[in-house]
Amino acid sequence: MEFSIAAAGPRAARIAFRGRLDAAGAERIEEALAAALAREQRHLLFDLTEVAFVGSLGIRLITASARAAGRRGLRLAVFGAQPQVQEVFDTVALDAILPIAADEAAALAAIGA
Amino acid sequence: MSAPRAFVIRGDAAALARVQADAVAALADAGAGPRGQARAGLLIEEIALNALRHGGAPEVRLTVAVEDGRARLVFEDAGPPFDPTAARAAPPPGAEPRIGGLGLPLLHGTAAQVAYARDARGVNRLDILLRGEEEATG
Repeated sequence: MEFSIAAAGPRAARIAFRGRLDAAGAERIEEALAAALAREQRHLLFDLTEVAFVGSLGIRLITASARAAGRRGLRLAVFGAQPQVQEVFDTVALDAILPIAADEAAALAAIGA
Repeated sequence: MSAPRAFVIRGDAAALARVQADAVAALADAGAGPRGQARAGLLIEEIALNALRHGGAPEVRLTVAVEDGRARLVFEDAGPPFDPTAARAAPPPGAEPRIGGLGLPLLHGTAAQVAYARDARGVNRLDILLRGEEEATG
C-alpha cells in the first residue's frame, strides 16, 4: 500500500492510493498519511481507483482522516471505489460520514471545492 | 453446504491480511456473492485483530463455508472468555471494548445468526451465519 499527493484543481488535493487497504496496508501508511494530511491546507479527495480491498482498519483510516480534516475546517470525499470496495462502504454506511463519489469531478462538487 | 475451509491466524497484520484474502477467496469459490464477501472480509479483520490484540489470544482458528448462498464464519481462540452476543451494551466505564466501535454494530448488522460458546477446553467459539445477498445490513 502506498499513496501519492497531487493537486486537484485550485482548492483540493488528490491523494491517490495504490494496493490493498487491509490491516497490513493501513498500518503501513497510517503515520505517513496522518503527517502528510496535517500539512495540507486544501480540501482532500481520496482516490481509491487502484485500491482492490478496504478492511475495517482501512475504514478507520478514512474516517479518522475525515475527522482530522474537519477539525481544521477542511472537507474530505472519496471517489473511484471498485465494486467490492463500494460493498464494504455500503456495509458500514460510510456515506453517512463523508461523501462518496463516482469520479473526481463529482467528488469536487460534493465538497464544494 | 460447501466443504468448510480452515485457516489459522497468528502473527502480525500482514499474516492476518493474507489469511483474510485467502478466506474471502475461498468463500467466493464456494458461491458467496460480493456482499457476503465484503461482509466476511470486514468481520474476519475485526474479530481476529481484536482477539489477538485485545483478547490476548495466541492464535485464531477460522473456518469458512457457504450455506444456501450465505457465508458462515466460525472463529475459535483460547483467549479469555468473551461473548460478543452479550456485549451489545456499552462496556463498563474504563474498560476497553474487545470489539471496538466498528465491530459490534458490524457483527449485529451483518449476521443472520450469531452463537457464542466457551467449551470445556477453554476455547471461545463464535459461529456467525451472515445475511444473504438480498438482505440489507441492519
